[in-house]
Amino acid sequence: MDIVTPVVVPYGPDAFMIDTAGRRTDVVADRWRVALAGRDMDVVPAAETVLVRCGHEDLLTTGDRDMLVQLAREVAPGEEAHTGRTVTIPVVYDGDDLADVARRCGMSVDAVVAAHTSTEFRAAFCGFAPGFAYLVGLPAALHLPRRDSPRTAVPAGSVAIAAEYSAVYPRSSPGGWHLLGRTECAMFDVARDSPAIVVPGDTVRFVHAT
Amino acid sequence: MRPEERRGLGAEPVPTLEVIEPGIATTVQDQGRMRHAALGVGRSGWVCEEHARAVNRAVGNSASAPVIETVGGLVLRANAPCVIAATGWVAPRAVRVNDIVEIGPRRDGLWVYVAVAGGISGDAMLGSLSEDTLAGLCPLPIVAGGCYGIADASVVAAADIVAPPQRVSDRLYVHPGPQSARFSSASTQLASATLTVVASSRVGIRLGGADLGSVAWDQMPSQPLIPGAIQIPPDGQPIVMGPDHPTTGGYPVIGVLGRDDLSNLADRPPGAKVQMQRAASEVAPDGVVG
Repeated sequence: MDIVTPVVVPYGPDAFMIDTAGRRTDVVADRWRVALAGRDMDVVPAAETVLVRCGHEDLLTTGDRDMLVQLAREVAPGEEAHTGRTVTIPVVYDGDDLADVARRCGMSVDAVVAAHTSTEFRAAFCGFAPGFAYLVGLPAALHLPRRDSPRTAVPAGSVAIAAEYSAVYPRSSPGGWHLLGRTECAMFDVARDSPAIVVPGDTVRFVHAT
Repeated sequence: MRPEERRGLGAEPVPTLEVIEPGIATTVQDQGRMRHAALGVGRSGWVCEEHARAVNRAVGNSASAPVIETVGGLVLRANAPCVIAATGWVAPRAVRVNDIVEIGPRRDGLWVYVAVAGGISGDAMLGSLSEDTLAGLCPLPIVAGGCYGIADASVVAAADIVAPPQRVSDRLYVHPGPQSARFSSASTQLASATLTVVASSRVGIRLGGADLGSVAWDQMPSQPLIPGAIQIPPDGQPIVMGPDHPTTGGYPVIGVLGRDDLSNLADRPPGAKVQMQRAASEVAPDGVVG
């Protein structure tokens, strides 16, 4: 079987990035993090790429780079992440965009909520803000582009969708996603040992808040 | 703001530096946070590392002690005897109780660092006192009447301030970025352009003088960002990521500056001109010319 090789993507002298060629980026990032334990380096997965950012006095050797490519190559396409955790997030579905989403998707509000609560999401990567996890798995019927005009302030805990993603806004911020509802969960709290409730590789389910 | 986030603000029984004038873009910075970028938390940390380390060295601090970072106009009053060093000074100064310390803007650069022997004290978040102005970590609104805590005022001065070597070159070397091949004509244009600093902050530096609107971006999958990444938003005006950059982004990155060139650029005031130049190409381990 011919498996597409990960592709090294240029990113300057202080970083190393690959396109995983379809392999799950959170799985590759996990392997890299283990291999680089103790080094002054940061591993960052995104949608299709994974990056290592080198610290000030710790650079990747050619051997390190070869090893990272090899580790990525060993990940089978479709291979699951290791966390094995399922995070359940209770939601009150009363978002400002819920009716609009239903109309644009040609569905009832109840059907939108049912689709959101019956989906097993996976946290693919974080970005935008601390603890903001991009959750994949959203049914295609709910894929909508971002709002034409972003809101200047989306409340903390807002549960939203855009394109093929769902997410929870960890804190109040500007945002262009469609708001379906809200949760009381504190998504990111530096006072906790593990500040983010959802990390890449986690399975995420949304349920009706009781 | 919760009490544990106040980091020495208010009347605590510790040696402090009282803020008389808060200055411009004033924050507390150390070497920043590592290993949290996968959670959406960037490194943050000082913009110009060499200047920060120089003032720390001068007052006998460890290289990573938290310092005050400002663009200048900062006026402090010591509420305890202490030793202070600031970028642009020749030597550290021993300061007595109630002495007023004025920290002016630099003539040869933008960012000014102020170290106090013992370091600035406070409650770290994820291992760092650095205020991340984008992520909202370690927020410390600096107002007249507020105070910076001094971690250990008994530490004494050790050395003169040795300023980092003056950078005389206006040239910044551009390495290829992830989308350079896809937008080859725009990246060629970028790598030889004379650009002007339009605005500068801890999040990024906006450059004018090259309209790279030809980067006809479509919906691009989010990719990791690093300090020094040169991103082209839809308006075609390049933005170079600074220490408080978002950890991922969806606009094309068609060039990357190395660490030294980034801090060179970040230390230039709005209006400064810089000459971009293509960096000597490197051969990546798999033979791809990067």
